[in-house]
Amino acid sequence: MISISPYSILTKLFNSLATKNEFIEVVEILWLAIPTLYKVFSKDPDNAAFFASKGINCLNELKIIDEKITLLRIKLHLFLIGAAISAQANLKSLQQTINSESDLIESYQPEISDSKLLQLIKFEVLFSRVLLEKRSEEDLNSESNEGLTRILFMLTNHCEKVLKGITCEFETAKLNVWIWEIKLQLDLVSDLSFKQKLDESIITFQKYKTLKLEIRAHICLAKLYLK
Amino acid sequence: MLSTLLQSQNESTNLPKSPLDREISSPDTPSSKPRSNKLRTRTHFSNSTFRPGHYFWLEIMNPREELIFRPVEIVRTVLYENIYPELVRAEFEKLKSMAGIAVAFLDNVKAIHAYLEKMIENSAICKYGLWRYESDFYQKISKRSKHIISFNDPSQPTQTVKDLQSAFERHDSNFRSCYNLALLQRMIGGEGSNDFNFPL
Repeated sequence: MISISPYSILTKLFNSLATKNEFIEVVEILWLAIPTLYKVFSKDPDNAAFFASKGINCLNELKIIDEKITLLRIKLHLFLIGAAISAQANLKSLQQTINSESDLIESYQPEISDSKLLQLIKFEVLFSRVLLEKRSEEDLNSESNEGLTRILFMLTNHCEKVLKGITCEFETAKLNVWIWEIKLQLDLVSDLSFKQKLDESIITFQKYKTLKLEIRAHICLAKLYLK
Repeated sequence: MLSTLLQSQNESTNLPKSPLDREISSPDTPSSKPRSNKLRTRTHFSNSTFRPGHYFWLEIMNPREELIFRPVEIVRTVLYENIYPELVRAEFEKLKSMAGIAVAFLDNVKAIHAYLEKMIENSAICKYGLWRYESDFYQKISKRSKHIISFNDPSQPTQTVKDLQSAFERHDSNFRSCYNLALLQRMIGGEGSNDFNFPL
């Protein structure tokens, strides 16, 4: 007869839990990194979305209940939004993608307990919606003051409010650059408060080595100085 | 064992010489790499037991100055038909390695600005807020990421976009194989995979 000691049961349970964690950690890195690499290197723009969808399907089939897995699902849905924007999809399909992915993201949100993460997810979805609004303005060839004012309102009243009370320097930096770009277009620069905000944004972009956004902030700053 | 098997197979079947061997005697070939480097790589491969070609259960290819080993399709089919615990364990190790390679690619891409982040990026390129990883596994693989991709020439760690692109293309089938659902299901609790059988 084989005797099973409580120690061996505990060891096995510990090993199982350790393996579960390890598996989740591997998957959460791998299934976001692979679509990203296809987005960067693949000649076919659909490849990135294909691998993100494949990751979502695998997660649905595996049925692992864990907050990290839910967060990965949300990230993959956000990735699909980003991929549709990068692929310069037409306005109608972009609208459909953003709407359907946002609905799915919303359905997963109750599974996330961290309030900061929830606010950041909400910000990313709202930010995408602002871009959609901007694209529809561009497609209408209007970019009228009315449209820009609406976009500015969304940025300051929706996005900025979501970020209040949480530390998120990068998101704030992105938001500031976009706000000041629109203020510049609308000729709403009445004080020098932009200087400090844009300087902070530039420092943040330098810290995270995001060259394109840093250049964008410098251009905005230069234009504002020339006003 | 592999080298012995291949050596004996080479001797018995009298396989043609590798294209790399033939390449050595052409000194006028224009090249962007220093001659000393190229000679060193060539000498390395000409001294190697492995020869590119199609073998019984293995394909050895040399698309550039390197050898790529790949099991033939039928071997993969047979292997994955009956998933043994050892295979599940090996596949999990492969996933970990692929995660390390993927992170190394991303770090290199970011370091040389081969890809510039957009206002709405939403990908693993992002390292802030929602997109930041804090797991121990990530810290571990991130630390050694710089050394993973520079396998072509260890003396030259700096990669160009072209280097990264060709390295990525070589790993294409490896990345595609990271979504084998049957294997993943076995990893998280299928029969015969006791080491990976964790309660959900």
